Amino acid sequence: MEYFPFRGVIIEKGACLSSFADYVLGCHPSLYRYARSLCGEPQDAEELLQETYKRALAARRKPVVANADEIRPWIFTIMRHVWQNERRRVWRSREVLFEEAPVMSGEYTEFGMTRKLLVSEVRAAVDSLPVTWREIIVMRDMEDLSYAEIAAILGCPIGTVMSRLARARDALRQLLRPRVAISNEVRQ
Amino acid sequence: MINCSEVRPRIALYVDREVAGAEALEFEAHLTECAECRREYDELRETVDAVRGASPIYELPEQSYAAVEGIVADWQRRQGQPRWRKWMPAVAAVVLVAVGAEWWYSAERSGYEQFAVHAHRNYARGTFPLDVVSTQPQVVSDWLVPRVPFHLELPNHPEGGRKPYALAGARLMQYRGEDVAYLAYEMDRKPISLLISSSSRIMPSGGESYKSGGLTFYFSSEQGLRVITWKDKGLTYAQVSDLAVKGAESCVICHGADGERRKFEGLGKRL
Repeated sequence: MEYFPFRGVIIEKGACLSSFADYVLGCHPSLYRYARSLCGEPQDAEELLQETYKRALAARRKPVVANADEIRPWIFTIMRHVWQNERRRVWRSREVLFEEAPVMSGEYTEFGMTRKLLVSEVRAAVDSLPVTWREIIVMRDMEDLSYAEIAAILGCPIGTVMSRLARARDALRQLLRPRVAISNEVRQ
Repeated sequence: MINCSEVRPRIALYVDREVAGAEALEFEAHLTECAECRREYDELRETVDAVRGASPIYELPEQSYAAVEGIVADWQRRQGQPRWRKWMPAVAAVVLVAVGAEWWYSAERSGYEQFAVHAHRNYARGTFPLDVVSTQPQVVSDWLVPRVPFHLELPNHPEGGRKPYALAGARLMQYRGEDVAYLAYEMDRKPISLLISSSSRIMPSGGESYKSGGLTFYFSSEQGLRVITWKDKGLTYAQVSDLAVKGAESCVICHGADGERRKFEGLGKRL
């Protein structure tokens, strides 16, 4: 399935963008990735995703369709509230702490590293981060949300977003350092 | 021209395209000249590019589409329904509560009548001795007054004002934790019971109602006995008898003579 970015919202190619339902459906892949960053496990992420959709659709006040840029931060915020209020206690217990992150093996050679391996390495590194760092990496570097949007979702000042993002990236850099140069070559 | 101390904390902003215009141009100019800042920028850029290049790292499972589309379709279908359909559960809940309250209220009301009938049966069977036995209203009143939580003064009928019924005595009873007065009368050797309570929770009720003298009397049948309930000056009365007449006609038997008959004007028409 192919996606392309549309004013900050990932919309399925060829989709009819005439209704609120279309917009929220367009956020589906993006939301799922954010759910994974919060929950870790695919099954929990799917559960959180569905609950978020139910809450979002039942909400009395929804962003108007004309303001498509507002829809994704709005629904991300709902997801975070659902996760915080109802599931955090359950899911936090499954979280792998950064200090306990496994040391990445160096079995891959410079020439043998494929994109699949790059994805695998990056995912392992991201998954090993604490959830507060993981979610900010996903929102900023994968979902391309702005600092202001992230601050609104997290309910914190932009300065907190910046410092948290800096620490998360430092940690990722440590984990990916041996491979960053290689991965850049692979991408090129 | 900006210097390193200004550039370093803002490298992430530049990488994330949070700076633009003249500020971005100044930033770029500094990076071309400062090797140290450039190295720091490159390191961050490489990390961010590696993550972005690997994205999406989480693949959306195929089955997720059906689940989410189902939720959205369900919402869309409900949107198309008339507005009143959305309120159906709330309306149903209100109706349920109202029916429950009515049932509870009915149970509360009928409980007092059944209690009166039970007392009457026991008295008629002789298994219910009276605390005070007297045909004198004053004697019975004097005994009851210090024992019940309300003022009670049984009427002394003037001599010559004959009544078809006669007082037999009284007994103190308890109904739901409150003291109530039980008065026993007799008419043609048949017992008539009168229960008096000051509880605000007890409300008179019955199948047929009749208004007279500003009071509403309710008439019902319980276990083959006639029950009349009414409320007057904060007291709730329940009279039980096995009189063969129905409804308000039974009032006339005792109170249809003398000056009291005017209280029941129009009764004949109703009956």
